[in-house]
Amino acid sequence: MIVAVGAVLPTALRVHAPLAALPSALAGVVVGPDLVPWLKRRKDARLLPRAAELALPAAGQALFGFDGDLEELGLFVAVGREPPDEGDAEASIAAMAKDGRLDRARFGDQGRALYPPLLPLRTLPNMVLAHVAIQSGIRGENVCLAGGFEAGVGVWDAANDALASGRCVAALVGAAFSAVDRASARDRHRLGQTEPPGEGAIFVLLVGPAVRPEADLRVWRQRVGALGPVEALLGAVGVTPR
Amino acid sequence: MTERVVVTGMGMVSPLGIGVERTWEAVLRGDNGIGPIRRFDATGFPVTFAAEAPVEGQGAALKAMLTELALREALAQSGVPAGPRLGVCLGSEACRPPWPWLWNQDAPTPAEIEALAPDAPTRQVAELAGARGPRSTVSTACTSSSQALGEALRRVQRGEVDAMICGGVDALSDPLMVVGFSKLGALSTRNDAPQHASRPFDLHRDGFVLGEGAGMLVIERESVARARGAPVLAVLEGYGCTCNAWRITDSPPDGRGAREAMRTAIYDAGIQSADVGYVNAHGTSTQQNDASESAAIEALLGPVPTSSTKGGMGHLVAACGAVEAILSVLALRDQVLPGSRNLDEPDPACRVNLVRHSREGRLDHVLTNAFGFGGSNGALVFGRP
Repeated sequence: MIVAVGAVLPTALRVHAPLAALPSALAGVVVGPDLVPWLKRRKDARLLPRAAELALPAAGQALFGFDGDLEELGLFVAVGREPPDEGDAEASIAAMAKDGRLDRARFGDQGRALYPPLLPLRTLPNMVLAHVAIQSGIRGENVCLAGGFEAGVGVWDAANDALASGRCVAALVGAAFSAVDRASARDRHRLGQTEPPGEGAIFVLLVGPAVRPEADLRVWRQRVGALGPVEALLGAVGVTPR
Repeated sequence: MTERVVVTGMGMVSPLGIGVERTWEAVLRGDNGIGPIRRFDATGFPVTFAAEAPVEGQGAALKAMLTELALREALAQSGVPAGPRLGVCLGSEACRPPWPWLWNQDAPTPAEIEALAPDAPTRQVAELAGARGPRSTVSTACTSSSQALGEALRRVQRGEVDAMICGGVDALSDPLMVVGFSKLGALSTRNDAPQHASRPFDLHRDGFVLGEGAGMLVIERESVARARGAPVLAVLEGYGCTCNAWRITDSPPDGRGAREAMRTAIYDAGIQSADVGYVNAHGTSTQQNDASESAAIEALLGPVPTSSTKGGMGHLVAACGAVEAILSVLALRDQVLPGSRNLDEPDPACRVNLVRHSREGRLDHVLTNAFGFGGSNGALVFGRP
């Protein structure tokens, strides 16, 4: 049964400055969000990839008021492509330039010195899951599925199974994605995807039969279906059909 | 009670060789698969060695080759039929883009871009195996393929499919990875002696070694497997996973999350802690992981024999959970506990019963761990058929 929903979604298409060099600078951009209420320590913000910046407020809204056991709270997250790193690594890559080409050998010394030490961690696909778990204290069953539409469906299946079997008493299920950056926009352009890119995150809090004995699976499924369906909502924020 | 889920096929490519049996024999002998980097000119790099698989290629093409080799071996052993009752769940990360793309020097084709995505190996396996059932890709760094096996187990138990191809693939001998992880201080820097660089649980360990490889398993409902006369290699009895909710790179010193993942897997298997005869540890050769994992094993399982097979093959990251699951199945099959290469002086802070050299033992149930950057923990329990 869905007991809470949190979402961070763009409200309009805007001209986004980093995309200015591309055929379309329009993107569905979230303004902000303000992360301070959702972080244990303000300095944690420097570790967050954009999708995690969107996910934290969405997950926080869905969890607001939750007072159950965090050991028995599951976390099931769908993400899209790996976060890009070219902006962060630009200085490092620029240091490899020689005669207008990239000289890989220069990366071992000049490039390395400028390479951001935290970058590998910012670009792992599971960083949305990791940051939501750390900031919310979630310690139960979890999975991060990457890829296409099946990732969004897969996290529902996994959460549903964890609740129905009693491995979790509640589950935070969601998706987060951002394609509003130069690297993603360039790849989309190369792939022939001309619609404006977007970004967003949505999380729902589900509780299982252990919490609401009257909520059997059939009723739960009907309610999920009545929401829109929520799978489509997940698709809208990044896990798009191929 | 749900029907048992059994392993009917296994395939592997590791730094120790192509094929399950070749790798297993090398592990038991204590062979070394770590050497100077061949994939690129690493002159001037802070780390100049890696655990590279004996396969030619680069980037996405290399991953595709590793995937196909491991898959074909697993399918040949299992003989699992194609169709809508066969699904795929793999652990995988994205591939790094080739250098020229970073500077827009060569425009990649759409197919080349798609080949970098984390789910590219999953799509590849589904196509090659004719698997038309559900498919998914787990991306939780070093825990990816352990969780992929767990998610596959759940799909079979739920009755969504009769069989799943599950496993993982990774290829990390790449300039960006070498520089990135060395700047994090996670890699061993024994450039003068790479064969001694990966030394899990040793007092003088100084980091992990980036590796390459793939492991694929076919798991099935036992009744279906036996009805078609498939080889039943082991039972996948239990799975547990947790979040540390601690820090991105570090594990809690008391190993709390790892301990709970193991406890959950043992409970899921329907056995007692004392029934576990061997633990194939995650054992990365980093100070933090080995100490934290040791604390977890000691607290939950006491003096259970434990080893890490990363001493000879490095850290295969998204593939390590599947590769080490296969080695655990082989330990059950042959009733042998693989040793920990380079364990010359066990760290007294790692208070576990470490297996230094491969030896015979009585095994009914084995447990294998995988823990990832970001704090996801996975544990799997296998039993004799």
